[in-house]
Amino acid sequence: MANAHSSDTAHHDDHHDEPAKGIKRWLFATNHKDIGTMYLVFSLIMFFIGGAMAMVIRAELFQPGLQLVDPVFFNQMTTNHALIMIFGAVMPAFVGLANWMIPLQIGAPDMALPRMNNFSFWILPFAFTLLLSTLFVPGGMAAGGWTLYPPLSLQTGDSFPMLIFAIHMMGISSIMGAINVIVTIMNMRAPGMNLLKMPLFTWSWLITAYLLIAVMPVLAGAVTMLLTDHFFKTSFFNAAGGGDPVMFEHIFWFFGHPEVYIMILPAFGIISEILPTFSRKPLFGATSMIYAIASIAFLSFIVWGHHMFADGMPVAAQLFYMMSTMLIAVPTGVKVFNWTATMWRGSLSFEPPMLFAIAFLFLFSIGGFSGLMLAIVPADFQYNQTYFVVAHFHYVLVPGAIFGIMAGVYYWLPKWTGHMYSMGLAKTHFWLSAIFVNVLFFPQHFLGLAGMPRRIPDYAVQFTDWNMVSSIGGFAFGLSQILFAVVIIQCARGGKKATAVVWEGTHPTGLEWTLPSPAPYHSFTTAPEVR
Amino acid sequence: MEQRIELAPNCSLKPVGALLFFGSTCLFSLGFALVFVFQGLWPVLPFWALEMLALGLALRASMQRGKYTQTVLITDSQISLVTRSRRGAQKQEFARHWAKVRLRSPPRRNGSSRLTIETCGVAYEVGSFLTEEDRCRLAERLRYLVGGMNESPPLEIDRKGDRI
Repeated sequence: MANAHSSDTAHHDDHHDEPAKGIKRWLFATNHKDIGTMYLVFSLIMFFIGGAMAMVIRAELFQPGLQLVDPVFFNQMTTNHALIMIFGAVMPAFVGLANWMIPLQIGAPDMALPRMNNFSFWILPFAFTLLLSTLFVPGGMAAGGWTLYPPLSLQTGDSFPMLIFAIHMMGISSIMGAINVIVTIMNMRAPGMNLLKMPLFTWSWLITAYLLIAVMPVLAGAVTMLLTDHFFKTSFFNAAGGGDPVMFEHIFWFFGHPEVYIMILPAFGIISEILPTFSRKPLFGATSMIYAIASIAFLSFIVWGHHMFADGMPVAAQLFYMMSTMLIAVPTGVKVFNWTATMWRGSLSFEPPMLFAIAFLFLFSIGGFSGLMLAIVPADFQYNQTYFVVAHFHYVLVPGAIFGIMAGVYYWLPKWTGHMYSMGLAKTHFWLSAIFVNVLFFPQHFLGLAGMPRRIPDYAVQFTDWNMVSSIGGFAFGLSQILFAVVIIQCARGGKKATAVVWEGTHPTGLEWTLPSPAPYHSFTTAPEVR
Repeated sequence: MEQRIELAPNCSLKPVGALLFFGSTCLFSLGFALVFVFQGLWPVLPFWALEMLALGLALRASMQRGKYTQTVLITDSQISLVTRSRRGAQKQEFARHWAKVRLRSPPRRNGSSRLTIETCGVAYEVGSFLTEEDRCRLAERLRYLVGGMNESPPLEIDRKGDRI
């Protein structure tokens, strides 16, 4: 008996045949590329909305005194700027990149659960419409900070339940996205693609998805308890009823600190893809990079107390959180060393993705070092609640996470659209961004060290000069992002045809470069063999 | 003499692996949830349970796609098509002499083609879960083995190898 096994390497791909026409294509999208595009466009819109809020903040802080907005509105802007940038811009951008790239990188025809993928995206516009609509309800938007600490957050007006519901929706969307990523990576890898052969971006997302799975129920539980404290007279965080407001801080930061890594680990993956390509060398210590990401992810669960040193805690706990936080510098140092070693004696070229990757390397390290300073308990007592903290986390998130996203977009955009973009415009965008991000955030270190508190609309006159510099940097940085949108729109509409490899003269690794540009609607009509 | 063709979608995760993966993820995240439950913050637990339920269902849905398989058994006189899915197995048998293999082009650009074995006015779809290229290769092989209507080519062992 002859036994002919046919196509044990094939996938289901009969659930979506071709793009529908018009709005239906997007409403009922199940193709990973369409959904990835929607995530990226959504995050760009949110980036500009959150950025507009930042401009309000910087305009008010241009001079001491109250010029443009009242203090409550100022606090509403700081709170919602953070919520929108974190949950609306950075996280959806990484989910968009994951949707686009993970199936391409592992040789799968699509994400494992395409309909759930559609649902997880379409929750987001509703969540953010709800969040933004709180601007028009009595009492205005939430103004107690994105950390929602009680009892302050419980004093929010009518927008409070809307805020909690919006956060729940964002959480549901994130969890569904994470589940989809995990199931896709675990079950849809091409034959021969074992875990250690997976590209670094996919690896970083697998670990990120794990972090999301672990911490999202904690956030959901925390905000639900706030809701019941507010409306049902429970006392989870109400000291008068036997509750403990500090417990909210513990529970929030147990979510919040891994959340920081959720926003940076995928950027690590992107940088690990870009640097070898434009250095024309393999990534130095690729396996150690995976272990470093996993170590950072593990450590992120045991360092949350460093956000609460000034709350008061036993010395033993302070020492534990200080040491464990400093320990993160070890795997992070491994990564920075490996990236540097990858470039060492490489044949470097400086296309826009490489420029953003190098800027990431320098500027993220600055944010990392100021993080180490904040980890030192006695120093933290001085820096706590000052602009030094604002400078620190913005260095991690803007030239860290956001530059990582921009590097990824510039790296893969020709693969998505089939066209090369304007290198001149993209480089101009890079230089303006790289210069003004420093003009914007570096002076905030000085302001913080001099004692300027954060989250205030007014300040003492001795802080004026650096605030003016910072605001000028903010406006210039904000305006220069218009170039980013222009480059993307131009590239989507046309331009010089991109080849399959896109970056001629380099040797990018990864299955995505075996596909033509633009990547066909169905990614891999034949599952590729990985050797 | 007979020819057997087994068709199955690709799954990189085996059932035992899926179980281990799901179990370890549940335990890992339950550990964190319990820390807060013991501090009195019990509302974390239902959210943990809901999330793990969602993960379990997603894994199950993805794994069940791997259970959709087909076997085509071609003998001198008969063709039998066994389709297995989570609803069980279905078997169709028909005379080889009156059967023909048809590959319909995609109705639209970027659409999927349809491969059928047709007999007496009834069409049975084969390999709907295959990729386009694999389906074309399967069609070629089935045509070689089944032949057209009213013809039954000899069933020879494919000397080129048993993979299509």
